[in-house]
Amino acid sequence: MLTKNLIWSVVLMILAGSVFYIARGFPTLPKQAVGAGTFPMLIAVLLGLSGLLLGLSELFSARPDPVADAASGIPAPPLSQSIPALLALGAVPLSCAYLSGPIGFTLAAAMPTTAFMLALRRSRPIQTAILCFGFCALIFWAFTKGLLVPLAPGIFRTVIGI
Amino acid sequence: MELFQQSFALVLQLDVIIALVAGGAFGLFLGAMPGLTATMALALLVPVTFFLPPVPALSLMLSAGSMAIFAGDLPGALLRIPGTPASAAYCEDTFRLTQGGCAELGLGLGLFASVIGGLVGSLILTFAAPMLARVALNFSSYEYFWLACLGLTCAALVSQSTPLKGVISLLLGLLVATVGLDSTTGYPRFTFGSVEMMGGISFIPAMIGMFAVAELVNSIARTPPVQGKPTQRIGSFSSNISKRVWKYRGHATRGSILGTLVGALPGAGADIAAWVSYAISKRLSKTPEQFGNGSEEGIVAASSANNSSIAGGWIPTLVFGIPGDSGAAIIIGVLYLKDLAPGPTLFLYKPEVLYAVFIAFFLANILLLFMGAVMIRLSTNILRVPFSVLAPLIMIFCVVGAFAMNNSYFGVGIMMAAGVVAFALKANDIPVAPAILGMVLGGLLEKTFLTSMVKANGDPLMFFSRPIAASLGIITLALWGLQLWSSWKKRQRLTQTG
Repeated sequence: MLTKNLIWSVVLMILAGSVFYIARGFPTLPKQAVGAGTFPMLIAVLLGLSGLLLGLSELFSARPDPVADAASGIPAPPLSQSIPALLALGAVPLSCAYLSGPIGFTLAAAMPTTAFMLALRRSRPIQTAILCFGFCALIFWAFTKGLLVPLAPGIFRTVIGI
Repeated sequence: MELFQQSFALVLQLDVIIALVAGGAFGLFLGAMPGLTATMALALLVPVTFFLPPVPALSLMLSAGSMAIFAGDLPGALLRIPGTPASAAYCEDTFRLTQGGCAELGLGLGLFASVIGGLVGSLILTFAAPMLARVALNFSSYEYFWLACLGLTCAALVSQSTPLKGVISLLLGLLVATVGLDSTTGYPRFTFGSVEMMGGISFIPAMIGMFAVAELVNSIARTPPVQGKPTQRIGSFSSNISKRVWKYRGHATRGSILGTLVGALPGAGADIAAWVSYAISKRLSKTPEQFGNGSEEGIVAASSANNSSIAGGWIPTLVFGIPGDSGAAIIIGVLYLKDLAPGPTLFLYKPEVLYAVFIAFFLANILLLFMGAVMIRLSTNILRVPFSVLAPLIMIFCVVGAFAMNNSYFGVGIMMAAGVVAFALKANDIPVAPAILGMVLGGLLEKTFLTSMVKANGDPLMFFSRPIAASLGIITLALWGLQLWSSWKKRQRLTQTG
């Protein structure tokens, strides 16, 4: 069975190879052997070697995988709980990026935040929504009025006069 | 004298005092929450610093950092869960004292020792940094190249994982630092046609992602922070705490000096400082059996060390632009944002700002005495705030912080990508701190490497042509040699034992 270290080893070697290949085409300084590609190529070589070493040490080592060992001692939360929470976490930046324009930052942020909080803890939805909306409104106010960050007011444009 | 007057005038402003108190309160709150670290507190505060003048901005950060480290003791004493990794060394001791009905004693000793550590660290910073800066003014690209190499070496080898994984993390950080326009030829590297990538991977959103988003993902998917409801009542400090601290003054002084030195070492932060000081104190103690069973000596030695390491970490940060730990790496980002490029010339051109920062360090540690005492009294209530409420609020703060960097959601994308990568690294036991140092030092390392190569006409021996450069180079190579030798010996022992 492929261990995490072996997967990392392969990923690192592919990454190193790609970086080296791309960096080969970078120009050098006039009349010099060094240039824009020297440092990335050096890093790529070292990264490739490190990846190779990681893979070899995993293949020829009799020791059990320390990561698997460490992980086995930690009770991970059930997937039924963590996947909705992770999806909700990922939805926060997406919603802010794509919905802030049309509906405003406060609503765009409050909706996924409420979902995130509910995914983490079964609590009363209305109270949770009010808490999240209040917090997002506070952040919006503090950053737009206090710190002059242009967060989108959206449908609250007329209400707050921005 | 005039310089000090100018610096005092800069510090004794209302905005600086507010920044110290607000940063301290934020640091105390986040540090006290299990699973949320002092570095996360700093990363979350960065967006606020965009809009502050340099002295209040840096005061906010240093106050938050100092107080968050102390606050990590609170859940350790009340719930047996260290709030930050820096409190792990003596968590068992403070908890045993709490179990024995002496929570005030354990936390009070920790508070006083933290203040002493912070003040001693600030004192060393105030005197050592300008002296080192005078020496560093004579440094050429060779010295800077070896300094950056030494810093990165320490970061990779000191990390708590295997050295190979530390090196991998470091190389990934260095690779990220190469993205964007090359400083020597102006050629765009690894930008894939994106105009936003031309300036490189923005460091602040990446830090927010690596320290805040990755921690949230980790808490949700792998190790949810253990939470409990403290039931102990905490009374007021008795007058004998100051007598006890006086009794352990030697431990506090030794811990403070040791902590500052360890803090100044790139890659070794407050947690390593606390462990080293605790171990040395145990070895020198007349009652080593008390350690782990409520040892007051252990608490004083380690608490003073972890707080003094914060000031220690600022020494290489300000003098050489080489961060002492992850928190100091964030400070470098803030220094650049404030047009205060770290390095010895900063001491020539902006000495009043630097001395104002040193004074702010002293003030923050004096404030810690009062705010820490209040926090101890409030801790049983604050520790009841559940992670499920905090996590979504932190996430929103992260998004706004990353957006505020350039008022663009591109920063948010960087933050999320960095968070996912950092989570993947952590999940495979690859430390994140060397990657951060790689990202910060990558530019300096490449620039000094190329400049030195051009100056030396490609002759690598020229890298050892100056005495300080040669010493730094030999130390760096010796560290790698020692590491390889010890790995080889370890492997041989394993083979012999079958």
